[in-house]
Amino acid sequence: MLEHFFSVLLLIAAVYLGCGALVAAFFFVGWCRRFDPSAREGSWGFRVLIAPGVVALWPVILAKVVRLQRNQKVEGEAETPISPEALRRNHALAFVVLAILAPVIFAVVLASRAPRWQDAPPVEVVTKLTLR
Amino acid sequence: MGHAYQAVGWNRQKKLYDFTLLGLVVLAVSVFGTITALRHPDTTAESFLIRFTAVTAFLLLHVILAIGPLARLDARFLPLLYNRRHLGVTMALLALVHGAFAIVQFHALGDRNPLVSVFTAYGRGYAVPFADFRAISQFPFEIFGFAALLILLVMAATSHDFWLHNLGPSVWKALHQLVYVAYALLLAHVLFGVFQSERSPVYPALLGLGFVVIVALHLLAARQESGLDRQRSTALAEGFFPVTRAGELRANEGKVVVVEGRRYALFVQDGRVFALSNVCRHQGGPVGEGRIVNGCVTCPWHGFQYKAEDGCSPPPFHETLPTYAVRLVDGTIYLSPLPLPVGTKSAGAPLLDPAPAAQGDFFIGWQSKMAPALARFARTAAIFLAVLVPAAVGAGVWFQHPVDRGRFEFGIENQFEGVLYERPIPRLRVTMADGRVVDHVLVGSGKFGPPAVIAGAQGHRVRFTGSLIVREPLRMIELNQPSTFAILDPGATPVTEAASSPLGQGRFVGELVDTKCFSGVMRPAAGKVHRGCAVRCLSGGVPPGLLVRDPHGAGVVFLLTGPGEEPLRYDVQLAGTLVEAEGALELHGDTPVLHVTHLTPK
Repeated sequence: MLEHFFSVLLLIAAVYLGCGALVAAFFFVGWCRRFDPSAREGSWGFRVLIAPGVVALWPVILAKVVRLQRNQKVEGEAETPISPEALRRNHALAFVVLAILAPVIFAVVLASRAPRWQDAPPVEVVTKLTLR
Repeated sequence: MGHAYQAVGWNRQKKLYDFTLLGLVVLAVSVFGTITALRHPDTTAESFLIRFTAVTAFLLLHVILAIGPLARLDARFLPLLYNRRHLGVTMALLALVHGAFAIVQFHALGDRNPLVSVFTAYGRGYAVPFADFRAISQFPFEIFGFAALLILLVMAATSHDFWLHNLGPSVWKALHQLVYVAYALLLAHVLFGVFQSERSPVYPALLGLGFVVIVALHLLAARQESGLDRQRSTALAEGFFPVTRAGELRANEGKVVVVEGRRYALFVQDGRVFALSNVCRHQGGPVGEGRIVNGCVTCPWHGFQYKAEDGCSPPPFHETLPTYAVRLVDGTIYLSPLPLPVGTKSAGAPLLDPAPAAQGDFFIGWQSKMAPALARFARTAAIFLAVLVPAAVGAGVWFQHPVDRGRFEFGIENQFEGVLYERPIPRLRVTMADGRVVDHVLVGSGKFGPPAVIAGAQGHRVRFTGSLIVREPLRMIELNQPSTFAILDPGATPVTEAASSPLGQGRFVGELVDTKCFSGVMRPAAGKVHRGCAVRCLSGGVPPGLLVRDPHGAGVVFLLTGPGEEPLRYDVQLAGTLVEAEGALELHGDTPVLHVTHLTPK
């Protein structure tokens, strides 16, 4: 059951990344030029560097290309101002949670450490078989 | 943005930064390598790589996580923030090497897809431990590391301004805040993984110290920020709020003020006070903590620039910050939080003779030179890291328990000839050059038991090509060339094996191991970190063994088989854990074999 679940998940991931590779190919061959004013003239080094991201986040690229095809404004979204207040709240919350939970998990996991073979009672009859 | 993207927009500061980073990694690998060679000379190259990359990447993650709050608490750390993405990408690449090698070493060449095996090898570990408290520690650690690696890789892949622009700063920043989740996942990866095998108290002490430092820095920075956000003032007529005394403003230096929980940046330029949004359009940096450089308001994080009077970036850039109306009344600055129309010039408020800005405490990477005091501070930070990183990496390898031993003649193929016994454990009985008769347990290549070609050769003289695996007194042959297998006496009557020597009946407690790895193929070959590999090997047909402790603390392995001549039926997912095996112990030749009647988790 577990193996089946992860096999299907892996298959989905492979299909997703395959689509990403396809989108990346189209992006670098053509879309890149009419995409982002700064990307249009971007160096090949830049294209290589962003390639893994294009493969991983291809739906973002595809959505933007579709908006470009429909002549919709694409810069607006990119210019959406950041909300530092929300980021600061998330940041503080993340570390308060971490400060409380991590020591508990730390203590529980260390206390529950299972004995190893070195902790087992010794076997008396076979000393001549000791590994070297 | 306003100019063509490049892979990296190099400048002197970035080169210095990367040179220092490279130096740290080289220093770390030198220290790790030297101590490994001196204290653990049996470590294999793969194990070295897996361990070195793990320790160094985790350490770099601590450094990365410390830079943000340090820069908030003390602006002198800002030069470390400037090129932090290179630090992050380096760390992600080290983590990728660690993950890739670990998956290949422990899960590849077996009977399952390695990526499926990573999550499922010992799936019973996912069960909720209602009855046994100790079962908590058996939870699979690999899933935490894998999830953290995915986050780090996505972050590294999007560490370019192209992504910042196209995802939008809010999404990009939120995505990169997942580093906190990655850190928590890696803590779990370490706790449930290596901490189950390594028992030196130094490791929990180091991990705890790192955790306390990181969490304390972040909580201190968060406290400082929330104090600023809580500032409140009452609006006067026409929606203007008092924000600061004019005497607190300095020429060419920003000041952050708060109205209704929102932050604004005040700058004095050419005798006038201007107000802009405090949120840089690049990564949301605190514009008000910046300076005016080359006539432009300059964000302290990465040096994005805006003109104070209209909030527009100088050409060819086209980012724009909202600007706000300000007034000066009786020595107090008042600000209206309603933004002016985008790009319109603000008249500002006249302020004659502001105090001069402090000199030498501001630097942005694209500037040609750092002020001497700041340069001294940056050098001190680099020296501190040059001591901290090798010391922590050195401690990481120094306190490891001794690695497993053995010899695997990987890539060296020899011809073997002898009498083959299929039962109870497949073995080749070889007469050595000195006349001794020595049994060699047979296994296949990768994580498999002996290939099917040996079936039916019981008691016959055979010859084949393979590779030797030795951890005395255990000797094995990896039969990796099945096509070379030949029965030399096909018509002869099979030789009957001499009666085994009984050593007695008993109950033995030890770790269920796969005998191939334990004989010298893997180091480590036992414990939680090797558990996934042991499951794969046993699942593939490698003979199981029980690793017990002799009175001197050394290890002894019994090969396990069924009560009679048949193979043992057991749950391979018990691999890497303590079990109790009951049965008759015999010596077949010189191979100790335990005929198991009962095998139970301990």
